[in-house]
Amino acid sequence: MQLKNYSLTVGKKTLFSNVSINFESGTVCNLLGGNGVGKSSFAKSLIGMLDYEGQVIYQGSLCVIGSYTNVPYDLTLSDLIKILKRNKAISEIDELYELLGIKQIDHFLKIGKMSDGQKQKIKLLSFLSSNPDIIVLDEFTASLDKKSMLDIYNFLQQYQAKRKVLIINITHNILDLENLNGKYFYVTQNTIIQYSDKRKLLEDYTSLS
Amino acid sequence: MIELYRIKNNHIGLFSVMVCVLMGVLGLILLVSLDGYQLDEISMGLLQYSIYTVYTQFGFFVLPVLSIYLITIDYKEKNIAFYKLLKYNEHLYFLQKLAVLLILNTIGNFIVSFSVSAVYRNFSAFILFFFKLENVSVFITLISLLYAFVFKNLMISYCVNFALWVTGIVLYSINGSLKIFCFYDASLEKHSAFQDVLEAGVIMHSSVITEIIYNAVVFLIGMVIITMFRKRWMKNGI
Repeated sequence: MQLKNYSLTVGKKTLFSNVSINFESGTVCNLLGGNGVGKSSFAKSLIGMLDYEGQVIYQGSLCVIGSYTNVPYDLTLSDLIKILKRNKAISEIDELYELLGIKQIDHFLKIGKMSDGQKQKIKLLSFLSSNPDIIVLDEFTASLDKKSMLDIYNFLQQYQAKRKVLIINITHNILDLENLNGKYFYVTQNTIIQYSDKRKLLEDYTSLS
Repeated sequence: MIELYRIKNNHIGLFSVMVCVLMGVLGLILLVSLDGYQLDEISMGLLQYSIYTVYTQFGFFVLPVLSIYLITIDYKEKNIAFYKLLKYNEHLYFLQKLAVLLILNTIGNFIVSFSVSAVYRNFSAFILFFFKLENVSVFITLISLLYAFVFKNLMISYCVNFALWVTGIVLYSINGSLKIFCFYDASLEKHSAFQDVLEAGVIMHSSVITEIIYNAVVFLIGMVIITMFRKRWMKNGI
């Protein structure tokens, strides 16, 4: 995915100004940044929720998974699987089902009653079942316990190794950087800066936060 | 259809049918408590008219709640992206919600109209009465879903629904040619004239066709509104 002169303003606040940057396909691109810098707004702009200026160039399909993309809570897991399997827009979900360890979740429990970790797995099952070429994860590990986080990291690494998709991981959680190796980007002062050294990024992030 | 799985789990189906049945019961209760009729004095036509009046007057308070909930819950819980994942667009989303509610209302309306006819062992006006209830509930369901689609918030949608209903009645009272804005209201002549039609045990009446055409026009206008507010659907739901 390539951003060319990408600018984003929400209300009167300019979040990004003439950003030109490249996110290499087949990698995990970690976007780190503090609260309110525009990380989530960037993700929302990619799915047409916010209007931006400039160009966002990519091939294939893109999906964003965040706190604003949920699976209806009144469905059970069993219902969801039937719905996904019947939909022509969905490819096989069986592989995802295995990788995510969905078998261990009560299939007749409503999604709304599941733990946060289980809900995130259900989201991954649903939104990745359409086989997107670019996956944008927006604060995906926020509010998860350590075990759930590790499960998610493990899954993403396996998924990435198999599918070679571009994963843009938007986060302010340093643990994500420790567990998801790839490229590193810092969102700050209306721009996105790529860092070749994870340690340097963490130094700058923690000193400026 | 996703909605069938959802209403199975969240009991909306049961509530929806119950609301129709309770409106039917209210029609009877009002005759006894407010109008002072004894039970054995109530003719079938009178009861049907009373229930129809409950639909046209109380229906605007009661029926919109479930309709509005069905959309605003998706906005609140940020489910729209899931529907987009399944290749729903704003029209398909709206039509599916509408279809489910209409099916549920039809079941409720059938129970009410059949029960009345069964109690009196007289099915002469059953079809007419059923279609009259259907037409009112179709209209109320359609417009309340539209408000929910546009306004996102349950309270705001409900209040707008109520405000516009009252506005329609006020407009008609100012200018009698504006009855199109309160098409089903009891203040209209055709509403009170309907009691005579029911008492006569007529099988079908031209007002049913007029109402179907009216609802169809409202539906088409609704589709245009949804097209205009398609971006709102995305933004409301994410």
